Amino acid sequence: MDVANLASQLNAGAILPEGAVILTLMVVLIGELALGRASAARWTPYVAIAGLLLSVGLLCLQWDLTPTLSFLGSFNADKLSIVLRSIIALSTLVTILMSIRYVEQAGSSIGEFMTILLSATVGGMFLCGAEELTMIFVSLETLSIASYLLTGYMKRDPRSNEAALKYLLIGAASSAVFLYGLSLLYGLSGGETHLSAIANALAQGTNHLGLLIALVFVIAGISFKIAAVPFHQWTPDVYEGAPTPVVAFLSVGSKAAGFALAIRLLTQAFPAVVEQWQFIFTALAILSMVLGNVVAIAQTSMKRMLAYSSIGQAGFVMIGFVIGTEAGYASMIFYLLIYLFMNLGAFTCIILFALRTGTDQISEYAGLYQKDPLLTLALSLCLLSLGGIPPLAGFFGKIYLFWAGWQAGAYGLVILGLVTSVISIYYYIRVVKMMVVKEPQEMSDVVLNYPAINWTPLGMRPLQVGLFVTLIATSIAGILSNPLFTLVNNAVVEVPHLQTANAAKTPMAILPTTTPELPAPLVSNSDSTAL
Amino acid sequence: MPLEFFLLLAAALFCIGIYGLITSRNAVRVLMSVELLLNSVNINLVAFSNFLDRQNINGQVFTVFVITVAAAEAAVGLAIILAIYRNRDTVDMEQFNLLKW
Amino acid sequence: MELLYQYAWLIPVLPLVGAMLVGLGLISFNQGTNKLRQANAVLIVSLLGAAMVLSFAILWSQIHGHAPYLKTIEWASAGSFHLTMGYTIDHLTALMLAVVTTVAFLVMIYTDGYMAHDPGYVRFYAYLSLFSSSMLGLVVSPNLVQIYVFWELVGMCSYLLVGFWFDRKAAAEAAQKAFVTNRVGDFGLLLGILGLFWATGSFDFEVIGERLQDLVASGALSMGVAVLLGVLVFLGPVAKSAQFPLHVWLPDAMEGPTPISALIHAATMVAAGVFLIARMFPVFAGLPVVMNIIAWTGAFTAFLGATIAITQNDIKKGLAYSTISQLGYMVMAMGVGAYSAGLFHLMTHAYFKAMLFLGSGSVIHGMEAVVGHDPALAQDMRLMGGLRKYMPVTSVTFLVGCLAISGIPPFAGFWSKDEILGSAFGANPALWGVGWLTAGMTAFYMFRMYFSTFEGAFRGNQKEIQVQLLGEKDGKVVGAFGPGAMDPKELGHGAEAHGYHSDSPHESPVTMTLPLLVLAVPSVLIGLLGTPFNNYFEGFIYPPGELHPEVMEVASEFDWTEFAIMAGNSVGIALIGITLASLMYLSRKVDAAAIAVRLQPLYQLSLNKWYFDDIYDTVFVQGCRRLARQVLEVDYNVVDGAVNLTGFLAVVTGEGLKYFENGRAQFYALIIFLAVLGFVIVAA
Repeated sequence: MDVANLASQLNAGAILPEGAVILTLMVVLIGELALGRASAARWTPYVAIAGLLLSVGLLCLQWDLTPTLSFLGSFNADKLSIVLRSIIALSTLVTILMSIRYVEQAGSSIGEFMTILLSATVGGMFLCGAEELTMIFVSLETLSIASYLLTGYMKRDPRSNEAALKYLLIGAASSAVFLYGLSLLYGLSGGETHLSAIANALAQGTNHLGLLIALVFVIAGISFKIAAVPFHQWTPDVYEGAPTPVVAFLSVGSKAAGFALAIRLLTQAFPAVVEQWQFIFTALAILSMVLGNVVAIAQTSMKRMLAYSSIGQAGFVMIGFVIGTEAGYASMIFYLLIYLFMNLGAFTCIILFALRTGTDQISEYAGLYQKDPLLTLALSLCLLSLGGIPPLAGFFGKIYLFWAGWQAGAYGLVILGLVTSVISIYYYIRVVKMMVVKEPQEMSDVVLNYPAINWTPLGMRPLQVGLFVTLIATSIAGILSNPLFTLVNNAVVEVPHLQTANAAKTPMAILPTTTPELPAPLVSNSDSTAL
Repeated sequence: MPLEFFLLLAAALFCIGIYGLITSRNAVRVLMSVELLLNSVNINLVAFSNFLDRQNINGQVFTVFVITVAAAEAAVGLAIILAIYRNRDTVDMEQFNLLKW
Repeated sequence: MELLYQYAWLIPVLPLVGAMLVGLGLISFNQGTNKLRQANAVLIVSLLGAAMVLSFAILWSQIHGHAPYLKTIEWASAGSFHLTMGYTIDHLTALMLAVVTTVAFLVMIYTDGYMAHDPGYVRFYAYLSLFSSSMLGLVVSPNLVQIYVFWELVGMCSYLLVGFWFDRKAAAEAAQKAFVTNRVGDFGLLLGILGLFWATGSFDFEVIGERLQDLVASGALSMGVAVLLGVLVFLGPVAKSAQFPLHVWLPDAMEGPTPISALIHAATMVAAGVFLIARMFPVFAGLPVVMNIIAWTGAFTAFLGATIAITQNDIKKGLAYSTISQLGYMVMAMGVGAYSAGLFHLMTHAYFKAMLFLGSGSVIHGMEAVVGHDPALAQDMRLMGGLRKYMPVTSVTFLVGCLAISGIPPFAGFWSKDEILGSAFGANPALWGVGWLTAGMTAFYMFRMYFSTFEGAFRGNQKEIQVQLLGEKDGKVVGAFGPGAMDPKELGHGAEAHGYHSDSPHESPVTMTLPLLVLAVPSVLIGLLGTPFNNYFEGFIYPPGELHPEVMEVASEFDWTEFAIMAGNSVGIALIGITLASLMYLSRKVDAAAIAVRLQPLYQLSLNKWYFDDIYDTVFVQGCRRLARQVLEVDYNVVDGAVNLTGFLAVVTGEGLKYFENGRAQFYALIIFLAVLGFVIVAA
């Protein structure tokens, strides 16, 4: 096999978007070393943003290409991976927008921060397309180790240190468990490392218990990443201690990568035990929705509350995952996409508030409306969207999820989802009420001494841009959701193993004709458009 | 020697790792326990590779990657412990509970 | 031409853009934006002006026979469920677009003079623009869902604007009353929409109509259910168009600034109910019972409004009841199947009633200079009189409006009202009788209003009347049911410019009189479009389902004798009304007070608005409160206990569970391993 032949077989074009990010990473790293730390703050973030935009652009270009396996079957650049990689790249992009001022004000080096953040992004993006055990492990660890570093980035802050240590230990433990699961999988399949080959080998296998152990171990690793109860306990501590932009990335980018891993690994390698993994994820979803949303009520710190809220939100997303229908997967990715904007929007607002006042206690937000209506409006919209209030984006995301769940007959899960989302509205509204309703005399001290609004310091403009982008997306993405929904539907339809998972499930009990609540489709549309 | 022996060794090592991880008070010992966990996986992989996959030796390749990643993880872990030691003058796991509830 | 239609969506979007820009400005740079008062106004007015030009272009092209245009995009689709959004342009839409944009445009110009010194000037423009956008969106909506969305939006704008001076108790209460009353109707409408979707699987007017017919014909759906659904949908228009029994909110809504009363509560939003009936005509037409209900509701409301308007002394309240009465005519027309007559009256009424309201604003503005800013004085007709000398433009335009609404040929109101009465006679002479009687009363109260405002001697300087009125005001419960008060701040203009104790009122600035003059033109002339012997209007607006030639055929069978009898009758009673009014209020040959004393019960009935507010207050408000108290008792002990318990449990579990987060990493790891073990055991 000559080199040219090998190169063509590698099909390396598929990872061009990741290449762009890696290149940016190198430019930032070397540039900072060469030009010095002082000037780095002025240009590295913009180089990073440009690189990520380039990467997203390349991903868009890949959309119409026929999906091919590259690197000898290790990396799958299908539409599903393109959507998920875009979500991760976009989340990094918005995170950078909000982090510049934050890191600057903390007095840390911004070039290094960008480098580590970009490595985490590369890891996450590779994870979305990884189809081979080694590749999965390496990209997962790239993401994880970079995240540990980011968490401990404020190295003079003992809270940040502690968060990093906890994150590292729990992360290492769960990735060890995950890895043990992978090694069992390797053994049970008789020495295969490609997911599809493993599935084929397992189909003839007889060692059911071994397979189940491997499954549970793998799920433990995934659940750690998506912070599903009971593998969630690191989340609140890490969210509270870590720098806020990092938390934003962890809650969106890292979580999206975890779901990408879940979709790919579980649907592709474990078709033999679909019932079991769906059962386990159902349990995880129930626990996450209940515990995440209930404990969030009792929180006093905004970041900690959002940590629990993100656990609850992951629970909602898991509804789409466990029902195993095409609509379920589509609605899940759709929700991740919506969640990207609304959650990052909320974090941008929190960072803005923290930058101006130096606190993130919920009680300190009292009366903010009087001083900063824009911030109040943005944070209210993002939180209400997270709570699923129409007509904001989050409402449509939830509707699609619950609708898909209802169609698939997961009535219990959907009803629980509805109940817990009502609970979640309670604690989101609490913050909004705190900001809006309080009389001037009930204003908290920090709001009373609120500084004049000033967008000129270094890094404030990007923060403003991030705020507006996420705000606009949160407000209108729901109303104009159809293109997005078409996008995620296309992403799911063309992935064969999602159909197999679907087929393996028992046929759905719902027939549209037998339910009077859901009458026949609107025939009228075609008539009326013909006019 | 049959494959099961190796697997049992790995499983035992894994359990020891877990025990160490949960009970050690010294943060460095906890890190070492994590290494034990990863090494037990390595034994598993090499054993499977030798018994089931002699052509491609995927498992052994995997092991090399695991060792590399474990080294990176240990480096980062030690760096974090160093940072926390500078701030708190202790590496006792019991003391690290600023963040709770 | 096609290009025009492709960009028709700009009509509602342009004012929205204005509202958004100014709104965002207000949110982010409050003081800066507030300083640029006129600049904001110019921006918003010119955007609406552009929308108006587009609307007229579309109307022109529709008149020239362009085919209806419909553009939809799939808004949400999930599996078998499709929801489309878009816009439709047909004759009805084109007409409504033109009416709404012209009235809104003129009202905005008027606002500049009226609100010149109000601190909320910019905010007011933003709301106005938002309202125009929602109303235009409502008009172009191709299906029920979209109509409902905009229906709620115009409602929301209306509440915002009624409660524009939210720091005043009366305004806040009026907004609340409007909100609650409308909620009843909207709830019915929503139920109706959902019910119709359940029955027919469509949100499309014509499709619903057809399928409903089929379903009823085939017996799949019982007639009773179909009627119920129709009535539920009709509840929406009942609330929005202030029909009996949900009419009570409209007079109180006069707490809003006068431009709002003209735009929303006379010309456009309240007509949305009639518009919805017109849109739903294919559905209603197949349900004769519903049609009858609609007709009788309209007739009764027309009568009710007129009887109350007779005794109102507050000029704005009088106009408000007259609006209720005129809306009753339109609804009655719809009910008897006189589709085009109802819409014709909608159009003519929009122009002349907007003009009357703006005129009343101008009068109040003038009065402020004399009697000060107490609304109980400035709006009371007993203090006016002889204003014609001081405010010539206002008085002439007001007279035109009075003639139009009284149905004197050739003014606009004559043709449209006559057409409605003619159709009503064809359907049921009793309906005609009610309408005919109402026409007489309309002429009477309008001219009572005109004479006591503009003729005779000026009474504004008679201190004893002022004292008496103030006493009356204090004696009454001031609040949601009190006289339609104006905010002292609203007319700050007069005070600042003239200092408020001059002896004579003055004419309003040109920005206020110009819209009056412009509106006077259609008020006089537009009726000629719909003369029964040459009915252009009916040739343009005809019920969906009927074909154009058919309509023209019917229109050409015009009978002069019949027309003469009908028209003679209605003009006759109008003249009687006017004569009576002139005897009582112009030459004072007949003493109004004496009549009032002799017909004491009737007088009191009318003065107290048929006691509706009191009845509602006793039955619904007090009853609700009593019920609420009793329910509260139960609730407090049982239900609330349960709900609180759940909430309490959630909070307590939250509080309890959070202590699992004990901050120790190794404990977390232990949990993870235990969970893994647990899942292995359970799964195996």
